[in-house]
Amino acid sequence: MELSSNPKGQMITGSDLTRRELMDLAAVTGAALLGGQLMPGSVPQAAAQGSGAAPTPLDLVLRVNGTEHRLTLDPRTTLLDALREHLHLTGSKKGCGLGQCGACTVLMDGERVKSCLSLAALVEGREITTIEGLAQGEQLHPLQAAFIEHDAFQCGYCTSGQIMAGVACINEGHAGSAQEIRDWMSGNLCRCGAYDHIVAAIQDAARATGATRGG
Amino acid sequence: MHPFTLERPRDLPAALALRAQAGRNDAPAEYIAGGTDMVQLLQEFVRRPERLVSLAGLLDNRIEAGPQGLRLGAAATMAEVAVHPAVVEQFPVIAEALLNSASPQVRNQATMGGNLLQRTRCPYFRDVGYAACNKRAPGSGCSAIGGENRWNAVLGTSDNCIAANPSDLAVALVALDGSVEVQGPGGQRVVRWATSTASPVTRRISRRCLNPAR
Repeated sequence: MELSSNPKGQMITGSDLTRRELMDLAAVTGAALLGGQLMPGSVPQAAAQGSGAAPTPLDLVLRVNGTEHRLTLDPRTTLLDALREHLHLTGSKKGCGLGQCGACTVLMDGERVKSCLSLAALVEGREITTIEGLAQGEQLHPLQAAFIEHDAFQCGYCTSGQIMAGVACINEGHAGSAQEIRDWMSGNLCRCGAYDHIVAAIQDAARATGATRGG
Repeated sequence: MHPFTLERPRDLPAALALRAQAGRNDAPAEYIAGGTDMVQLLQEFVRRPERLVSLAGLLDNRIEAGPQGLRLGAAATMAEVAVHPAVVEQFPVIAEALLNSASPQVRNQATMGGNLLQRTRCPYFRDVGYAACNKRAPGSGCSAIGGENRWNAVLGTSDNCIAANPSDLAVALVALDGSVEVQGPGGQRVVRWATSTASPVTRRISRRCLNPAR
C-alpha cells in the first residue's frame, strides 16, 4: 500500500487500497480521531496488548439466515464483527459499537438484539436473521417495500437496523399507533432525522400484515 | 478488548470456583450473562479480564409470584419480566422501571442480575482516557467533581465519587424493599437491597435471585 501526501497535505492512497484496508491501517498505526473524541474501540494497539499473546481462537458454528457457517474466531469477536468481517454480511452496520444507536440490530430467534453487544462465541445455536435474510429472493419484505414507498431513509446507514427493529416491533404487536411505534423504536437512532417517514412506513407495513395491536 | 479466554463452565460451582471478583479493576476474571453492559466495558477497556466466564444456562430464569411475593431469577431478561402478568398486575413499578430503561433490543438480552450489577454510566468512569477516577483507580481522584457532571448524583455522594447508580430497577427494588439472594464461594445468603447498594458485597455477587417482600 502506498501512502503519500498531495500538495494540500491530504493523504492519498495507492490505487489498490480499498477503504476497508485504509481503516484497518488507521486502527493499527494509531487511534482514529473523530471530532476531537477518541472513537470507541480505536485505542492504539499498543495499549490494547495484554500481558499475554492473542487468545486461542475458538471454533464455532453460527446459523445465519438459515445457513450454518463454521468459523474460527478470536473470543473477543462480537456478533456484528463476525457478520461483517468474517461472513461479509455488511448489511448490519456499526454506528456506535456500544449498543446505543441500533444500526447493528439483528434478530436472534426472532427477537431483536444489538449484535455489537453480543459475543459471537456465545450465540452458537441461535437462529440469527440479518437484513440480508429478510427478502425472499427478489420479493422484498413488506417493511422494506414500505421504507422505499415512504422515503424512510436518507443516507441509509441506520436503515438496516431500523428495518430489523421495525419487523420485530410489528411482530411484537407494538405498532398500533405512531406514539407506540416511537416508544418501541427508541433503540434506533437516525441522524438524518427520517423518523416521521420511518414511523409511517412501520404503520403502513403493520396495517398491511394485519398486525396492529395495542395503542 | 483486552485478550481473554472465554470460559463456559458447566455448572454454578464451577463458575464460582473460577474465583471472579467482578467489579474490581484488577480482577483476573469477569462474569458475563446478557452482556449488554459487560461488552461495553470490555470494548472501552474499563474491564480487562484475562478470563471471561459465561453464565449462560447456569442461572435461574424463572419469574414466580407466590405468598412470599415476587421472585425474579437472575437470568430472567428485562423484556420477560416487564410483561409478566404477575409483575404487571402486582408490582407495576418494576414493569414501569424496566420499560423506561434502555431499549427494546437491550431489554431482550439484558438480565435481572446484570441490570442490578451494571456499572455507573459516569462518562469519566467509562473513558479510560481520564486517569483520575477513584472508582477505576482508587486514590487517583475524581474527574467528575468539577467536570461535566449534570448526569451525576446529587444525593449520597462523597468527596471521592459522585457517580449515580444507573439502574431504574434498583430504584424500584428499594421502593419495594426487595432482597437479593447472593451466591458466592462461601455459600448463599440473602441481602436486603436497600442497604447493600453502596457496599462491597455487591461487587462480589456471582449469582443473584431477587426476592422482593410484599
